[in-house]
Amino acid sequence: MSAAAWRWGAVAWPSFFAAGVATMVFFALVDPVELAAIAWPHLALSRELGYSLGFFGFWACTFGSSLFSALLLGHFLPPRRRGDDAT
Amino acid sequence: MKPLAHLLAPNAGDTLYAAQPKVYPREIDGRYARLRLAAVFVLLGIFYLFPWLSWNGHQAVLFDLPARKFHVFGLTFWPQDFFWLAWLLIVAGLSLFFFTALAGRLWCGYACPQTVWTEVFLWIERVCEGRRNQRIKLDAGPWTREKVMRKSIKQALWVIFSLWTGVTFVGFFTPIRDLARAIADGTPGGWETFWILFYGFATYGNAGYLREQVCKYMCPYARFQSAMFDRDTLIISYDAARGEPRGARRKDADRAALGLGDCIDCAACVQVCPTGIDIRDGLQIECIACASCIDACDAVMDKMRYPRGLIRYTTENMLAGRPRRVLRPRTLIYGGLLGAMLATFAWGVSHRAALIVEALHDRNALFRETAAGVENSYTLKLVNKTERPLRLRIALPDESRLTIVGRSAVEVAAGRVASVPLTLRATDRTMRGRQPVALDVRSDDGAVEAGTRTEFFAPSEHEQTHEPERQ
Repeated sequence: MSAAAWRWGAVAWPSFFAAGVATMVFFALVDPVELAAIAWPHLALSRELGYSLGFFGFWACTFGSSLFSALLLGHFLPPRRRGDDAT
Repeated sequence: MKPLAHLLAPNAGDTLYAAQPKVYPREIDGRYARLRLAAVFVLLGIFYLFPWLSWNGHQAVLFDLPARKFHVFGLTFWPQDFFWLAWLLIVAGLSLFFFTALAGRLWCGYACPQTVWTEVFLWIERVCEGRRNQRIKLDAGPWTREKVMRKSIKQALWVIFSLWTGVTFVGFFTPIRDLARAIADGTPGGWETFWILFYGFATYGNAGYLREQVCKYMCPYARFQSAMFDRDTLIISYDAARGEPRGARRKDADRAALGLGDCIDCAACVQVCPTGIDIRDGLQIECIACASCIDACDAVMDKMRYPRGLIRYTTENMLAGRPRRVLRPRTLIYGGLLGAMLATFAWGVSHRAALIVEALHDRNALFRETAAGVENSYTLKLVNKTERPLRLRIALPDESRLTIVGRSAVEVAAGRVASVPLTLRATDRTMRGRQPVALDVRSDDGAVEAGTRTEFFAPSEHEQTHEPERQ
């Protein structure tokens, strides 16, 4: 595993975990079929599709957030720019 | 002062992660290895067999997402019972705290899915590629015909096992017999196929490739478990006072004369370690407490005819010659909380309402004026959580000024949700404004009963009664 793979993993894995928890809590309270009936009455969405869309929607959000944090912390800067500004 | 970003994102050289050589854990037999093997059989047995068990004509354990119902043997959980699922997760977290305080990382060494599946993947690897030295030689050597064959067979077995794991996982969420039939016919659903491949790939990647790296870099528990440790927690430790100075010697050598401790520096404990650490360096965050080093060292001690336990389960206090305290504030608090929460869970789950009633007032019109009187419309949601059909009667227990228009009895099939239109009419023409209404629903045999509260709207004082308000 390379250092780059490790950096991406550190973004992907916690966001995956958080998205899983969010999906579980959200869909325990909201039935995707009823949500679809309110939001897109002209589309016929199954529950399975609703759950999966919900999960990937959450993951997109949490992934974006983790990636933003990683960028702010300089994890994706090129090596010469990263750190080493003590001079 | 250094900027925060600098402190949190140091150079690649000193980040938490460093590329490390592949770990080739040596095969090991012993007390704790057999204990782990037993755990592997029990836990994976539960995982692979439970979806195939039947209970009263339905799958015994089925988290039926399409139907929004969870079946766990005789119990059925509805979305309304999510509270208890969350409660159960808190109980699980608390038991992790309790057992960690008591006996360290028991979870990691014997019960974590990462450990359990890695054990199976390692076993497949051992069958295909041989023992530790043979595997190291095979990896280092050129790509001969034999190497290609051994690696291909290993990969094929890994993939088959991963896919089977994926099918089983999806089988917890969709009836596994139908799923197996659909796969046999070549017509599994799109999302089912996707999640089988997703979970299969995750198993393959985590247990086949990442292995100890999951514990070292990905696991949140590994990072905070030390907060639950104290000086009386069971840890796996090398007895440095007994072992040092370490050194090689002949089997019949007099170690006192040579000035050596009991450690013969054979490195068996290092070779068996699945995370590739040396336990003799002290307690380390990478140690998943699998006790392989204990088994390895005990075998060596037996051969040397030294007493066992140079590496053993012990506590910091015991190493320092003090007695071990099992009952201490930390374990008593964790244990007490755990017991109370488990008891609450058992009580709560066995006392769940068998019937749920919700009344939704018509969103379009607050009221309707008819020749017979003011009427309000509702949608009544009746959830029958029992395993039998219910014939339910709707009543207004303490409201003499209202009456139910039309039928007041309804049939709800076992385990179904019924949406029933309900109209209430005011028999009292002087009724004004908003009135609270209590609805009572009970089964004909009187065994099941539930109630709800809603509101009845009549024209207010200043309004012309023949122009109903619409908003």
